[in-house]
Order: sequence, then C-alpha cells, then structure tokens
Amino acid sequence: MMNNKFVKRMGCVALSLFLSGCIPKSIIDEVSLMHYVGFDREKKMLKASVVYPNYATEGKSTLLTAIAKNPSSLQNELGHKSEFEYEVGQVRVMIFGDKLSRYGLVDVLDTICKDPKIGVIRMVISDGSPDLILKKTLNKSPLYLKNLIDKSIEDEGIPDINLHVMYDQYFGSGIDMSLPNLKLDSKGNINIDGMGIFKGDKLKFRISNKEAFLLKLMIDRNKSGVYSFNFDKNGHKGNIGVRSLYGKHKVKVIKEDNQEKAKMDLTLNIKLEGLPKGVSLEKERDLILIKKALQKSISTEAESLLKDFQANGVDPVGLGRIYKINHRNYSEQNFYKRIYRNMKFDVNTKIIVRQTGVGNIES
Amino acid sequence: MEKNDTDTKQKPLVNHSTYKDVIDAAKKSNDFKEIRKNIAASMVFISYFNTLIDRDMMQKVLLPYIADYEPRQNEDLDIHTFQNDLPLEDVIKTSDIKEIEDKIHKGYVLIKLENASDECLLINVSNSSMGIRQFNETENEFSVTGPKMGFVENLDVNMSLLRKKLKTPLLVTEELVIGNTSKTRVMMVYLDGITNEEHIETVRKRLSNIDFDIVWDVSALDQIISDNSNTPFPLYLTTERIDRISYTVSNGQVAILCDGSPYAISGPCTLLDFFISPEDYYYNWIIGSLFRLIRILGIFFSIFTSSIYVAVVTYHYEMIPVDLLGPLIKTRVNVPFPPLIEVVFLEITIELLREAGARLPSKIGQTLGIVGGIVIGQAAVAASLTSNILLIIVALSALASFTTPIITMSNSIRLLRFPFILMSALFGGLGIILGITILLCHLFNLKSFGTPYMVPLYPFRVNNFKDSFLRLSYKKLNERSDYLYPKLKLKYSPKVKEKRKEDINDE
Repeated sequence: MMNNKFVKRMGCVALSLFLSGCIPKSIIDEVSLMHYVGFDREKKMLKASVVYPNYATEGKSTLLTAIAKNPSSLQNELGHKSEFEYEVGQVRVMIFGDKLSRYGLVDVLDTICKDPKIGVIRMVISDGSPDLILKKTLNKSPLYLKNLIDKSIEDEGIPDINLHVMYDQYFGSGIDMSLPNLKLDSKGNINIDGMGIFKGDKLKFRISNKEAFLLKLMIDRNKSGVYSFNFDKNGHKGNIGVRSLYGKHKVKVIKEDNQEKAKMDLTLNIKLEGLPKGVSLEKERDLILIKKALQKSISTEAESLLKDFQANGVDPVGLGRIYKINHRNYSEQNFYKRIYRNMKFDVNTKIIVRQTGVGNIES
Repeated sequence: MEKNDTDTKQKPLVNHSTYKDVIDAAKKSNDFKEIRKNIAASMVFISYFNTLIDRDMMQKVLLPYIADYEPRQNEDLDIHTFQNDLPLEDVIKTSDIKEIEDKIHKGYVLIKLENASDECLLINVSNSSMGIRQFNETENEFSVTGPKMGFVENLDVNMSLLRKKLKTPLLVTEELVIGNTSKTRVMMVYLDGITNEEHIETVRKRLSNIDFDIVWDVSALDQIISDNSNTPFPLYLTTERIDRISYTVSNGQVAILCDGSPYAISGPCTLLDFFISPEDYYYNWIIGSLFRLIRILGIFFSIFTSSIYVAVVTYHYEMIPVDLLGPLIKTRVNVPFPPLIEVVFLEITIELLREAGARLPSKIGQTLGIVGGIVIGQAAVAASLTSNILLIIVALSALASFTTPIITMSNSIRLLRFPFILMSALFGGLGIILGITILLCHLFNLKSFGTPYMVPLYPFRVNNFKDSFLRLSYKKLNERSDYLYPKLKLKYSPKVKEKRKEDINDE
C-alpha cells in the first residue's frame, strides 16, 4: 500500500521539476557569443560595435554596430541584427571611444555592473572610435586583442586594470579611474599607448607609456617593464634601458611642517642590459654611478608625474585612500579641495641590480 | 494481505514422524539407495543418497568394513560397539527423526540395525569437494602485486583459507543455518576479545532473525540484514579476497561467510573503505597513497563530469575558458540534439557495452570492447550524433568508475551519474549542487550495523584519517579504527628506529 507521506513528498519533487521549464536555456552553439564590445557616442546617441567570433565554421569574425539612446535598447538593436540570442557572457575586452569617455561613462557602467554574466574583462579606452580598432581585429585570431592587452599588462609596464579594479576605482573614494589607451599607429596596427586618467566617469587627460609604467610602479604589485633614461656622467653618455624585474612600493601620507606630504618608497630589482661605451660593471664605481643616476631619474620623473596629477586634480595613485586610513574625519571633498592641492611629494627609489647578463665588451 | 499471512504460516511441508516415513519419502527419489547386509545373523539397512556421498570412501572403506565386520566374542551386534569400532570420525548415534532426515540430505549414510531399537547411526561420507571449482584465483578484484587467492564456493575451504591467514585462538566462528529450503550454512567470523561485542550481537541478531527460502549468495544476506534497503550504496564490504577479509576482521569487524558463495561480507564499514584496494598496502605508503587519491578523484570525475558538461553547455556558457570555447563550439555545432539527449545517448551506449561485455565469454568480450569503443564511438562522432569532446568525457568517466575496487560500489557510482545528468539538464549548476546536497544528506543518514557510514568525515575522527584518503606507513597504522570501538586498540607496536648515523662517512 502506498504511503501517503511518501506520495506527498514525491509529488513535491515531481512538481518542482516543472519549474525547470522557466529556466532560459542558452546552448553554447545556439547563442551569439561576442568577444569585444566597443562603446562610443555618435550624434548624441550611444553607439555599440560588437565583434562575434565565428568558431563554428572557422571563418572571419563579424562586426556589428547599432545605435540607440540608452544601453538597454542598444542590446535590443543588436539582437535584431544577430542570428542567435545576443549573449555578453564571453566578452573579453570592452573599449570606450574618446568621445564617450570625455562625455562620461556612467550610463554604460551602470548597465554592465548589474549583469552577473560579465566576468573579469579588460577595460580600455581608444584614441578614436572603437570601430576602427575592432575592424582591424577581424582578420586576426579571435582572441588577438585580448592577448595583446594581457601581454602588455603582464610585462610591458601597463598597470593591471580590469572590470573589478575599475569598479573599485570608480565607486571607491579617494582614488580615480585610469584605463589603458588603444591607438592605431600610422601603419594601421593596434598598439597600446599610455593610459587615460579619469575624474569621476569622465576622461581628464592621457599619459604616455613611460608615465604609465611609473604609475604601475606606484600602484601595482607586478613591476615588470622597461624604463629608459639618459645617462650622462663622467663623460659617458647614452640612453640606457633597464628591465624592472620585481620590487615593492610603500606609500605614506605624513604631516611635515604643518603640511601633508606623500612619501613613496620604491624598491626595484632590475636587470641591466645594454650599457654606454666605457662603463664597466666590474668596476664598483661605475655600478654605483649607474644606480644613482637611475634612482634619481625615476624619483624625479615620478614626482613630476604626481605633480601632473595634482595639477589636473586627479588621483589615480589613491593617495586619498591612504590618507583616509589614518584620519577619522576624512571627507573626499575636503581632501581634494584643501589637502591634495597643497600636498608635497617625495619619491625615494632604491635600485638593486640583480642581473647584468654574461660577458662585457671592453673598449 | 493479513489473512494470507496466517495462511503462509502453515504447518511445515515436511512432517515425517517415523523412521518409515522418512525412508518412504526418500525412496521417491531415484538416487536414494538402500542396501541390506547380513552381519552376524542380523539384518543391517544401509541407506544413503548416492549423489551426495563420496563413492571412493563408500566402496573402499565403509562397505568392505561392514562386510568383514564380526562382533567380538560372538556377542550380538550392538549398535554402541559398532559405532566405536567404525574407522570413520563423524559418526552420530541418534533416534531423532528430524536430525536423521536433515543429515541424509547432507550426504550422511544411515545405518539401522534390524534388531536394535529406534537408534540409528549416521556416518558422514559426504563428498564436500564434489562439483566445487578448485581454482581460487581472484577474478573480479584483481591485483598486480600481492596474493591472488580468493574464496571459493565451499565454506570449509574458505574457513581453512581464512584460518591460514589468521592463526590465532582469538578467531571465533559461529555457524548458523539460514534458509528454510536451502539450509545454507552461514558463518560469522570475528576476533574474540577484540571485536566490540555490540557489533557481534547486532550481527548475530540480524542473522538469526532472517526468514528466507534459499540463500543464493552472501549478497542476498547483505540485502536482508541491511540497515537501509532503500539506498544505492552498499553498506557492507563485499569481497572475494582473503587478504581483504582478514584485514577487516583483524581490524575488529565481523565477517559473514556463506556456503556456496565465493564472496564474504564484512561490517560495520564506512564509505571510504570501498575505495581501499589491498594493493595500497603492498606498495610503499607514498605510492599507495597516490593510487588511493587517484581512485577517490576518479569517483568525483566519474559522477560529475558528464553532468557538468550538460550544465555548462546548456546554461553556463560564460564560465567556459576562452581557449576551450572554439573547440567546444566546433564539435557541437553539427549535433542535432540538445546536450541532455546527446549525453544520455552516449552514456547508455557505454552502459550497453559494459553490460554486454560482462555477459559475453571473455574472449568475445575483448573484441566487443574494441568494436564498441572505437568503431561505434568514431562512427557516432562522424555521423555527428555526439561531439568529440563529449565522447572523451564519457569514456573517461566510464574508465574512472572501473577504478573502484569493490564491484558493488562501482555499480552505485554508475547509477549515480544519471540523476546528476538529469538534474543538471533541468536546473544547470544549481541542479548539480541540489543533487550533491541530497546525496550528502542521504550519506550522512546511512548506517552500517548501527555505526555511521561517513566516519571519519562525519562524525569527524582525526585519528582515522591515517588510513582513509592517504595510506600512512605501517609505523602509523598500528592502531585499530576508533569508530569500531575495538576492545584492544593496539595491533602491534613498531620498534623505535635506531639512531641514524650522521653521515655517510661513518659507515
């Protein structure tokens, strides 16, 4: 005889199975996955360009563009143009055009930060319209652009920025957003060219690759990159490139003579490769000479970069955040209006030469 | 139903009360023989089933002896002296009709003197090895190193094999007869003074409560005495290996052997016991631990891979690593089915192959494996019924389920895969998590002879981890597991190692 309780229980289980009918399916080969999305502003409207890889037939990727007044109807517009359902879960890079960046990203950021399907993706800005850059990727492998940016961040001196870091900088107080900048060079190749520094959601100004590396030294744990400087001492002249291997940074905001001062200690372990004529690393004196020159060069350039940020009223290093740690009655407005403006900067660099390569061409 | 119950409790079918009844009933069978002999002027009836006795013994020992027998000093033939003079060991004098009937069906020869009273002699000339295979190599629980001896279908042989491993006076056997038709001898084996009495009592009680007709195999007992019969998991260890049973018995478990079954069961045991192979102990502990970890990994692999494939491909495309995206889409794009049908189709194909392989003679089985595995697999992919990647996943998960050394557990894992596939097809990743939750709730509820099944994970027992996921060195394995509450904890005491010499130069 059937147990009444058992029947009830099984009934509940059976009924709950019907719930599965409500779950929208997205079978992997029946959705339009996109890898790159570019946003820009055109005629006071929002323009999106998306790149679909064509894995099924190994053909070329396709570029679709749509224009709408707000991000939600943009998705709808794109949906009208694609074969399958439009899915953002596999987006790897998001590019914001120059016009939109200067106008403000708030609309777009608000939409994408609510979508749980968007994972850790790279956010970049571009000099011109993202269209031009995306068009160049169509003939390349589907992941070309993502690999390009990843590699630059990994060891070419660009600060590590992704969606989560960007949210932290955007929503967090005492720090400003900074995004890598993409550019087409004169031959039409995509390359990374410095960074864009934001105030709030608006692009304020751009910095060069060299300055981006200095910024990376001050905010990133990963410090690999190449720094070049002019060496001119004791009659030895030349431009030296040193590869930074690893290191540490320590930032403090202290009060000195009634004035706030940002003190920054950088320790870098470097690899010396090419040397100017006549300099021999076997001589202790020469080695110290190069070290001192390098330390001085990095310190002064970093200080001038910080002053540059100060003059523009932006704070991508996050000094406000460091100040906040020790000050109970911190207010963001107050900090940037009164304290940051008059802040002094002091960068101390310590260089440790770890590798010099084998052999020495004596002259 | 209840009315029928009283009906089934009718009088026993066999109800012979006199010697004549017994003989008459037996005479209905053609293999029953009755010989009359004349000894010292009195008639002797010798009756037996000629299919049950040892003919050699009968013709070379018993019959010549009876023929030549002459009572001493011209006394009358007396049953008592006759019994004492017989050159055979197992001779019973009885007048109990029921015992007589039982024994002649077990291969005893019945001797009745015409002039004596009701008392008869029962002489054991049964041929216990007749029809029993001599070959006792393990067939299903194979191992590369270590002994390859397994049990056979004869209880006495099995016991002697076990006693050869455990030569201790503590080894106690208790025999019960179970099955109202088969009258199967079932033996409980344990170490007296080591195994906790509660376990012995539980087993004894469960076994003696059994009412069953024919005990086909020890696995039937396993199911009847089981703590929970609605579980896909085996609650007692079933093995054909002698080393395995001697290990569990020496640890303080109770083993049950049964006549006619080449397997023995042992309990109380835990989930992790099923993933232990005797081979782990024959290798160095580092290698043994690695193999055990691989085996445990294999279970998870076997249960979850195909369901994760379904969940990811149907719902969670965003979590596919970007480098895998291309190959996955490329292989799936021509498949006309949704992922669920695709997976179920392939899983059932594999199950068919496995089932067919088990039923076929071993030589054909191998060929079938190749034909099925390679030809059908390749053809299914070429006809784009399944994707390449899925073929690999399903084949690997089938392979992984074979690594479980105990066949009953291997079968449960086979079965578990299907609910998980169904859940993942209905609810995606959430479904898999739901399934895991239900599975864990079920596992935590299970008990084996009243002890928790998930020890040492729950209840958490740190000491028992020595021989669970890892197999530590013999130095550390000298204690019996806590969860069995053995009365003697120490198995042996390892010697303290001599102090190491400082340097190789000291040699």
